[in-house]
Amino acid sequence: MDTLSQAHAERLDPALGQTIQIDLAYAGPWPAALSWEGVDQADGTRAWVTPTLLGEAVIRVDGAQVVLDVQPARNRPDLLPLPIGKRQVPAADHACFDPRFPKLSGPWILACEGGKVAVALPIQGGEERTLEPPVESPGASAEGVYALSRGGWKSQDWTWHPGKAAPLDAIAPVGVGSEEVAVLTRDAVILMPWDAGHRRELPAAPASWYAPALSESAVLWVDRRDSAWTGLDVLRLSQDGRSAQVLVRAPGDQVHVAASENWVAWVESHFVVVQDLRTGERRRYPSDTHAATGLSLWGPVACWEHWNGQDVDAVCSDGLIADGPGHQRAPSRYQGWMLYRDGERTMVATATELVWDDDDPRAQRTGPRVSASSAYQGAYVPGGVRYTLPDLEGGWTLEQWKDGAWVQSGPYVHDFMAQDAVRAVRIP
Amino acid sequence: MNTGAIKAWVPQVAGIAVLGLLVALVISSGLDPRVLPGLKGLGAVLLWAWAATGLGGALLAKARVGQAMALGVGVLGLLLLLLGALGMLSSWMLGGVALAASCGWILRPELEIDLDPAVLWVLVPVAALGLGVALAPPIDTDEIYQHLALPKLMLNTGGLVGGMLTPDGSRPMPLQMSYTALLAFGGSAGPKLFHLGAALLLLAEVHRLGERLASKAGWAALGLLVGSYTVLRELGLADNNLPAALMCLYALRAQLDNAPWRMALFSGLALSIKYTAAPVVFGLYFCDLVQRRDLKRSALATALALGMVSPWWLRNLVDGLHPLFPYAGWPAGERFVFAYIERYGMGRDALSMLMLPWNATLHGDPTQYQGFLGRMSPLGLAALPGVALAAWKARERPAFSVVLGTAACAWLGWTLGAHWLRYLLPAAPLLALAVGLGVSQLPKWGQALALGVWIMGLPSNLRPVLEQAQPLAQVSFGSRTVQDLLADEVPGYSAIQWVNQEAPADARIALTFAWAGYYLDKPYLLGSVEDHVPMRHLLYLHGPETIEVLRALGVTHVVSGRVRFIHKTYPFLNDAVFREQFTDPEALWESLLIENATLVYRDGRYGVWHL
Repeated sequence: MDTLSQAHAERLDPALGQTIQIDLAYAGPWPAALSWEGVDQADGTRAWVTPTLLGEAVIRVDGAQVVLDVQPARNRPDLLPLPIGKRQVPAADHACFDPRFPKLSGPWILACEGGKVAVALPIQGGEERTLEPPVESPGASAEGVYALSRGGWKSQDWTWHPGKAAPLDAIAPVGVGSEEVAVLTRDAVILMPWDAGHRRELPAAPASWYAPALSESAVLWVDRRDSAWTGLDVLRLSQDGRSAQVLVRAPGDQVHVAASENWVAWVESHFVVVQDLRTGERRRYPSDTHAATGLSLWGPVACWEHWNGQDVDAVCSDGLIADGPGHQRAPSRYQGWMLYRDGERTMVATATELVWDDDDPRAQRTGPRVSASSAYQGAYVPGGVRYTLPDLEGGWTLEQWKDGAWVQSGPYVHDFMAQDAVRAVRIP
Repeated sequence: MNTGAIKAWVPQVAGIAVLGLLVALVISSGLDPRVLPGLKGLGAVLLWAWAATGLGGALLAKARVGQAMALGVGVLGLLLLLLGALGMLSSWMLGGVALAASCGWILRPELEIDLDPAVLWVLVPVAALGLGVALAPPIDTDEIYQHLALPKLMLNTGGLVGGMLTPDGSRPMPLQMSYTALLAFGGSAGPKLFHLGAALLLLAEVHRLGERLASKAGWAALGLLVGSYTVLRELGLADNNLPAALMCLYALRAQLDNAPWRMALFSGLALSIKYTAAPVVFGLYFCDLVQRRDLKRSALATALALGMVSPWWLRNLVDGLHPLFPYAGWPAGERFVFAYIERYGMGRDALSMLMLPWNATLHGDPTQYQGFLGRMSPLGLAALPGVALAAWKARERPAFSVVLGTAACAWLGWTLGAHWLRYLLPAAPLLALAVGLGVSQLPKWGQALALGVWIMGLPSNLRPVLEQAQPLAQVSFGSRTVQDLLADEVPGYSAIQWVNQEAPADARIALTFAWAGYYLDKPYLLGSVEDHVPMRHLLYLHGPETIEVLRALGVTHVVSGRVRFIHKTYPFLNDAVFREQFTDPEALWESLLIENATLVYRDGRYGVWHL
């Protein structure tokens, strides 16, 4: 545990003159006495760097390093809001005892009856599935729904999987993965298979209330071990599954973890942070998150509750936003849909367009960014950008940004090369 | 079984020695952890009862054991009020008070125990029912926000609590002061077992006095009480209704014995334990005046009775509050209603009032405001013709006139207040004796019919009691864990536990729209009473500045519940008033928290916010 591990850059391809944050996941005594190299030191293991030369820049902190690819230009920071349609889902309007619900589990809306999660409604309409018996505060993810000691339903086919008798004193909702579920107790993280098999137990000091998150490549939780020094931190299970590793340990609380594919995310006091587990890049989305009660992640797209100074809006990192009078709360995201609560109503915001540019975590540039007034966000890539686009249900077409306008490119495909940004447009 | 007077020194010394041994055993033994709390509680009850009886006996010189103990509890309440005002409420000081009170035995009071062994056939099963509840952790709303929460808070702070931010603590609390000592010595089982003992004493005394008045009247009175859900639900809880009833009964007995000072003392104690005893006290004084026609005696007795309550009023005045706070004297009182009595029962028009005995008996429902939130045995209705006969005979039997007259006043007083059957409990012994007299006047076939009616009423009265006792008994007898019970039955328990475990040691807590203060191990403000009055009033006074007010008071964390007031439970309010009084304050508070605080824990309707 007490070793330096990995340095993380807020952006791996910053532009010249663009100041970015460098974090070091450090688990030793605090505050740390480190000798920084190539950056301006500040705040102990958190520092900021402003590149002054194009090309590769290596930031080293003792044994850890991060390599930056400094670009001649940068995209404009603010995303344009995505156009959306909103509709109420009356069948999901019933209030739940657990305010995290109703929420999406893949393309299904988990809704309540009598305060308990009791039904899964297909978001595009169709036959609903009854969850019998209803459960009050289950774990839920795109993989399904699971209640400790009782079992759960996999969203693939909503088949019932009886749980093993597990007399655990859980302190948070269960984390639900495709093969395993994670249970937090006061002094351990316990991983259990959905059906049967060996139970793994890892000593830890999880914080209560915050559910753990599981994806194919990560198990993470909010930990209180060093809360007296650094507030709540985020830990993850090591690759060999035998020990806890610090994912983020920094001043202030890091809470509300989420995981999806190769991305993990958490909430800090003024940011929502999404980390790419393959590259270590940490994208930071400024937000007043004090009202956040959770975090939803679909690939690298995070959705959370943002305090706009007057009320709470449900916002996503790709520009899908549900705002308006009153509070829009408890967003959960799947593909182009975002489910949220607006007062006593449950609403679905449906994006009619989804946009990706070379700055998107799923884009691979083949050349350097060049500033251009006609580019989508102020920069384009001469060699082109290869996009690995996500699965989208329903009918979509693809367009690309050329010379200051969107140009039709044909049907939606997962692999696509473009000079600048692309967008998917939902077929009405 | 009349053991007569207890005069010898030997039993007193032996009693103290046995108690000491028991306490030492409990403290030092490695008993099964499920047994230990019960034994500790029992030890605390014996110790406190011994001390109170010694003190009360010394004051009365010659009395029934129960009377001595009841007076001792009342006087100890006043002594502990003084200690609390001085900030000296600690386990050691309370132990010292118990020891000092026990010195009353040195004056060798003549105390009488007078019990019909046959009544044990009723008391033993009733005690068994109450024991299952008493040995379980407290989950009743009144226990966890008031009767046990205030003693715990006083033990945590070492002094009295009260004022606008803890209004429950500004009520007269003679009984809760004893609960503070019992809690310190024996945990929650102490006050609960003590209350169970008081309830059993009440039943035995009602039976004894009834039989003294007329043959079979005691049995019928006892039957009415143990056949009524509203009485039985109190068994094993730490509450104050039945102790107030016991004081009322002793006041009545004193009147019948022509002992005006004792009548005054017990009347004052009844009032200070529960203001809903007022109609009984008024009725008793009225009957006494009519019977004795001695105005001076009545005036002096009234002065003495009010003197027993007045220290509590004085304390409120010193705190800058209305003497009757929290029932009166809220700063926003002109637009702020402490309690809506219209909420209870089936109406307040003339016909509804006339039909009240019928409706309260036939339509009583423990789960419905309209159903008087309770249930009572139909024996009362069946005995009404007999009650009329007893009233006719009252001209020749002065005791009948006092019992019936006081019971009538008590009933009338209840009809003028909230139609919640629990509020009738201080009058329960009077009403039971009136019913007992009624049954005693019926012919044999009428008595047989009354017995049949009583039996018919048993299932509907016992079922909800057993349903409520079942989960508690499961814990008491080890088939369910305490944590499971508390998580299921105590609203907001997990949020409270979060504060206990995760909040900093110096955290200052505010409970808003939340009840379970008893389970909070840290000092706190606010908490709920009636319709969540403290927080609604604070919002009423300060509006959007409320959160700054709490910050200025040093509050760091807020445990907040979501009530979602329902208009149909306040059908007598128009939309505008309902919104102003209930939904708007709650919505404002929710907005203020979202705007100014960070949610750090949530479980269902309860959240913990960091300011």
